[in-house]
Amino acid sequence: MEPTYHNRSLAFCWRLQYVLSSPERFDVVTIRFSGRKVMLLKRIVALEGETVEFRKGLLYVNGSVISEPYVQFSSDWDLPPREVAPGHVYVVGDNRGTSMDRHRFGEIDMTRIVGGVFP
Amino acid sequence: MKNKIVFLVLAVFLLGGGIFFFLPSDEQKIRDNLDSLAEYCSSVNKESVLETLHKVTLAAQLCTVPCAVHIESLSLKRELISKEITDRLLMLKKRLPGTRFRFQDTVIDVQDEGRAEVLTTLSLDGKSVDGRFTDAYEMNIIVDKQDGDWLFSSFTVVEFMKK
Repeated sequence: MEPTYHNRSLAFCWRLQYVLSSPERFDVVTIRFSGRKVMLLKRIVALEGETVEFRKGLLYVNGSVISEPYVQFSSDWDLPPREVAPGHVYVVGDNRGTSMDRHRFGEIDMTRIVGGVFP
Repeated sequence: MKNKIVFLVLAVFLLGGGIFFFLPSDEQKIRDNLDSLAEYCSSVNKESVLETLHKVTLAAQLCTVPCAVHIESLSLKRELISKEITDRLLMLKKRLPGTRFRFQDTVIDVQDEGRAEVLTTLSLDGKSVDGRFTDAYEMNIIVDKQDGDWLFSSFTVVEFMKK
């Protein structure tokens, strides 16, 4: 999640964030693996039912380019459009400086989201 | 005489109870094997070639022959024999020197006599040319009991993020 969150920096998982509300686009969320000791930080870029794609590093949602001021390391990613399934969101990290193969991102089940991030 | 019999019965009862209480459960044996596997795959300190060979051999001994491995992102789905396991572990340790492997958030479901399913997170913490790195993978592992030992028979990386 560079440069928004630095490697080995300290951030807290705010688990109550989605008790009364649903995740929204641009939210940074904590995503669990098999439990809650190890988690990923990613940013939601598309919600269920939306179509998401990358063209030459630019993010498109429902065919429109989305401005991403938090991205400082640009990429040349190309990814064909896909519709986000019900009960899922599409998440990507802010650090696009790595190749698409090495970057872990994509559609996840919303039950994987543990909470938001504080601060 | 009666006191002696009562004492003897009590002693046998306590001994039996103690053995039952302190003997590791199936779940604990599987956890111990996971810890051992992580330790054998780790190369926290600089290792000699002999030490590395010894560790990968011990790691392979924790697996059945053959052992299934499924990593969708690498298009790898096949059964490995013991030699292939040691070769791949050697490659892994060479590629990731100074890396610590750990299994965390482990849930073990002993399904029936002789088989268990493990859901766990493999976390890597090490050094690369770019500095320190951390990585994690959710894994589904099948463990089979063979001749009293719990051995890993299948490793599947759970790809919960679909590009």
